[in-house]
Amino acid sequence: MKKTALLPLFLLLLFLTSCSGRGNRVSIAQQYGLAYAPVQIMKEKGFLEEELGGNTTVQWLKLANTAAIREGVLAGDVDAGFLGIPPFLIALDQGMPWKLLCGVSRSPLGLVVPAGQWSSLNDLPDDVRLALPQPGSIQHILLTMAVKRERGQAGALDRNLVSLKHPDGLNALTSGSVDGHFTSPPYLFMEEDLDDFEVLLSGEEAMGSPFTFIAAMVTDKAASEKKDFPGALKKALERSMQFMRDNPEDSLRILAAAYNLEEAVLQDYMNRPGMVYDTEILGLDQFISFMNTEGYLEQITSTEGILLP
Amino acid sequence: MKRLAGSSLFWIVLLALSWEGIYRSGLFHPLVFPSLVDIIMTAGTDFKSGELPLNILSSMVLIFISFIPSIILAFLMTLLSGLSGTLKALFNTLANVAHPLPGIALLPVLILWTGLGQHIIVLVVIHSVLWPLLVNLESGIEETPEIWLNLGRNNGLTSREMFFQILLPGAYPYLLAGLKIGWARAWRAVISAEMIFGTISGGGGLGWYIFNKRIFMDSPGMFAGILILMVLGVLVDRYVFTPLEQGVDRRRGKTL
Repeated sequence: MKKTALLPLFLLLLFLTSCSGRGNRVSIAQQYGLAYAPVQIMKEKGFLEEELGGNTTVQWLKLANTAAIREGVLAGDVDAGFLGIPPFLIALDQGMPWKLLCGVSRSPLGLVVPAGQWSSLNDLPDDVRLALPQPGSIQHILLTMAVKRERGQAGALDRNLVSLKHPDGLNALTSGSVDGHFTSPPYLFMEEDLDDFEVLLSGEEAMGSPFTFIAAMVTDKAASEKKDFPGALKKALERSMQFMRDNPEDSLRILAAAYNLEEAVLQDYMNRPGMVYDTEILGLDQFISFMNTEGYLEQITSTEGILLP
Repeated sequence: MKRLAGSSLFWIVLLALSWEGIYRSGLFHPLVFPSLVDIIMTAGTDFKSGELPLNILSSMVLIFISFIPSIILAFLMTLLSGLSGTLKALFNTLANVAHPLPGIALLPVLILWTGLGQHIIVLVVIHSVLWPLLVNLESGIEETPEIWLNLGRNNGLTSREMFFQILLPGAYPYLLAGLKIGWARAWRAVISAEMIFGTISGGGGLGWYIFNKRIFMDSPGMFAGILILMVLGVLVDRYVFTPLEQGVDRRRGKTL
């Protein structure tokens, strides 16, 4: 056999080797931000390892965004992660094998605009430019909810939207490149604190009620192969939230170091109204109903089969 | 069999069959390896709805309006380099510094300096095209045979005539190579920039089309976008660059 013929065999072997050997390990996709504070505490304090009985290795994967988490799940590299409800539902609707475990945080979200210019979405001019993270994000869905209520058509402002990451959105807003930015903390707080800007629409106004911003999900594979894992993850999150309530100073120290923020600034942000860490899931029905009506979801019509028992 | 293996069509069909075979084996989730039929169907549906033609047109227009100033700039810089040694040193330094820099790395700086807008993508593409074109043009001019230069001098050609009648024709193969590299880099720059920021409604370009399909987990749509990119690349190579290359080969006596 020629040597070159061995190369594909070698590559196949390498591929198969990389696909196996997960063993007694769980992989958690991690993102950074105030809304993920209990996850950071859980990691630093080793609560999940304790809840799993110490015989399972926890692998923390730093991923940049929800799309990367979804691709990690499909590649079989992620067992659990934390994300907004709309992107979770969009993926589930397309056949993603995962389920919601519990809530992680509620948080103020809002559309920030130059102060004193407009009093409602109806006042926005036709050529207004609004920045938000990406289509299908919780910010986009909340904005379309409010637009539908005020203007009758959910997509009425879609042609005015620009997709920008939070830091770029902040820069674009302050430099005048865009007229509004639908964002979340800490960028929302930074923009609110500037004299020349105000919140035109809050997330809660858009939704009409409180809602979960970040929720925890577990893949079907992990839930079926590691029966204790979902329960252990939820328990570890609850312990983290309790730790944050009982030990605010320690929590601040841990989080300030992880997020590279001054403790005083972090304390200010975390104590602002609307920052709530809670495992209850709120707003799921409303998201499903709206997203289904507007064509963002085709298969999912109710919460049935979405939540882990 | 050997003749068959030498044909592109054979390999395309084999790759397509292998892809469909992997999909049908059920080894991978359909979101990871969607059916080729679904990919083609999605492309067809998006063509019919006008979504794909609009996005293709948007990307092509961006490349076109970036390519023209890049070519003009490259020519101007080459011309000025010929007239002044100082400018030549400046342009060489700029090319050395900027040529290896991926256009996408400049995106945050350009947003900060010039604000948001389609002009950002145009600037990134100009950066991607200008430097390879300039480097190739200058190399081509330096490689012009001495006998051609002597021919020009002996016939009393002016500097302008020397540039347009001797140096430029001499550099033509290098210019063509620069254009090919520039085209490939322009495509990459446009698609990358569109994937990083774009309008949420239609017309954000092919990069935005692929990114949007990724966000909404429409895997067949995402692969359809990639497939369209490949097809466009092959078509431009076959119907734009290959005839130009054949023309050069004929003029240089490489082919009849």
